[in-house]
Amino acid sequence: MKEHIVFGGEKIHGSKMASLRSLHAVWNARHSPLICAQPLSFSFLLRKKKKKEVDSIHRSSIGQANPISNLREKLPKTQTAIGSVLGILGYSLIHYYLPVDDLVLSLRRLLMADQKCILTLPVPSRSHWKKKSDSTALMNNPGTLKSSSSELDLDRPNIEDYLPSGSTIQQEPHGKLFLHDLLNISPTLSEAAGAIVDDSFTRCFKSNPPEPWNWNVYLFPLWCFGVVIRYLILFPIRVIGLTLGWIIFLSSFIPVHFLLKGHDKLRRSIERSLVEMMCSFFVASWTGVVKYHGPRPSRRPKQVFVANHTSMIDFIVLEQMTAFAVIMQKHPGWVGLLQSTILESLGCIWFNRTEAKDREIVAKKLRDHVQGADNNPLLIFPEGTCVNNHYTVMFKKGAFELGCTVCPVAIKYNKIFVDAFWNSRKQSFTMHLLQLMTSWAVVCDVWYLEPQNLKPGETPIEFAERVRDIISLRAGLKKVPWDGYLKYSRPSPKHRERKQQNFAELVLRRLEEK
Amino acid sequence: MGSASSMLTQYDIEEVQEHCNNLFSQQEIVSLYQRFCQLDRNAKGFISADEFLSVPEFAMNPLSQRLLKMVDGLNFKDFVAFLSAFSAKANAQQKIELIFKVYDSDRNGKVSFKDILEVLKDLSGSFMSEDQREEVLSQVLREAGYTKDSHLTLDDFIKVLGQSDLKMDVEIPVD
Repeated sequence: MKEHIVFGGEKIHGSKMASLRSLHAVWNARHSPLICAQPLSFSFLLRKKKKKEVDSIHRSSIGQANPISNLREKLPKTQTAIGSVLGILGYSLIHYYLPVDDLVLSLRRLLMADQKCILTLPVPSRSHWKKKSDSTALMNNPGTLKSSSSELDLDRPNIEDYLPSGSTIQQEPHGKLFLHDLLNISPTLSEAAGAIVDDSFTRCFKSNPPEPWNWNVYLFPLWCFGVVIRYLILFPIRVIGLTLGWIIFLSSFIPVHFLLKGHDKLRRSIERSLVEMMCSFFVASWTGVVKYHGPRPSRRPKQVFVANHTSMIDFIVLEQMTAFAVIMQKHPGWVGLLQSTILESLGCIWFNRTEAKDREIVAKKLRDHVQGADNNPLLIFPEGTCVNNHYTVMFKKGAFELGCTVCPVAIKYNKIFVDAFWNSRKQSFTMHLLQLMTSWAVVCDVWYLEPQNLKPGETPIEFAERVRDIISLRAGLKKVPWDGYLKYSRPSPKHRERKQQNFAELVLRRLEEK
Repeated sequence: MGSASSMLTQYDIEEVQEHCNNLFSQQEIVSLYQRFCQLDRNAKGFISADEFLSVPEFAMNPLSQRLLKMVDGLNFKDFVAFLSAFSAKANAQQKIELIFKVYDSDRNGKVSFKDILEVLKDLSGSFMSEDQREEVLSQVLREAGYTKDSHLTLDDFIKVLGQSDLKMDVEIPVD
């Protein structure tokens, strides 16, 4: 941690990551020819069909103590070439863990030799840093780098990648700083107003009522007739059916649970089918028309199912086919009672959102659960909260770092009769169920998708994003960068700080320019 | 069905339209009203600071605290009037007036050196020191022909900001 690098007479303290950042900043201030590049200018070069050239340079640069000294001779003296060297250098730094000091030394040499060159130093994206810091920490001194980047910082995809362009990556204005530039806060104001008028986060949790179709003299009596049937005929029948289901279920579940204590295997398989049956009663109670696509899940160790989450009925719909063990929030009321009695026997795991300690306990339980061969397959809703089936919020990475095969499940509800989104802030689960039970039917599609594995070199976060892509594509959902837990908390000040940093750097740089 | 849009009559919409100098179309007002009701969670008739901050994109904005003072507790008419400066139909003067109001936190019609410094502080946070901010500001003020002690009025703002292009158009989603 205590290392420092010297560049241009300025001492920079801090971790490697920080020093590269400040190196960048120092450069910005002192050398006007340096152009701050977009992240990963390397891929930009590749797009420019210089792949071959870059590849060969790149290959030769690996494994050498000071790659750039040799590179210079090989390259034609053009600006792009030098730019690409630096691009590669930054790239190698990220991927091949070259020490920062080497980079500085080489760059200084290069600068002295070629004053007018345009340098592009790639600003590595954060996921790359993770890769680097992980491996360096493993390679030489474990623990030194980890402290420099807090876990939480790397816990999520980069929000800026999703926000409408113009928020951070504006084409940077150049030239002298005038009063009107400083006073012009219009971009920031418009961003704020834009967020007030519409934002992607609240959209995720907006219930969209089905289109009313009864505004018509001829249809209105028909609709009234429908209401009578739904509330006075269908609903009582469904309640009776559900009660019947409960009676059958409980009268067989309780004896099985207590009498077959000795025969674990038999007991479990009976309990499994009983729960599946009970869920079928539930689905029938809202005339669930569910189409299942793809092969049915199998029971085997080291696999975990992840699905998008719209309502608690997701669980019932999936449970009807296969008895999953699910990770759920601890609910109050009758749902909580069911959780702690019946679902417990399936190996379901509970947590309390507010208990920080629960996180570790749950993580441990998860790891234990997936190892067992005869355990019910694990089902996780990585969004951590109900979303209205038009969007997907960020996936929590927990399910993706178990080292298991991840089987994505996509669920899409058809809103022709009722909106299946459970807006837990507005209605209780009982009300939600009643709403479903008084509608004509709940129509939905379930896709069991191709199992995915962590690719070499992929971080759990990238993996989670990839699986989210797959699910969103299949179910036709839009992706948003937000953490669903923002429903309960405020965003971290980090994002605001980044905006402030951009602003400050820009002002300071333009002040120097004449 | 009791949905939000049906509660606004044609008269209401026209009244709001008049209040915001016809800068929004009727459809835009209906859509803003839906948004207003969505943010105003328990239908109190205004949006509280906490409800504004529940929009993460807004909470992340460096100027959010400052803007909150302006929009906190506004009823729908004033809410629309506040947003009208962001309409594409609003002219530069209307936009600059809003910017001026953001700077003029004590509403005395004058913006002092300190007022601007405070906005700068919101914008740059801990990434610029107090000295740096003062230095930057006094330099640009001097170059523009003002001193540290001069108070800028709205006319000054119009003169200064008139020469830069304001990107202050926000589109209201109409579906």
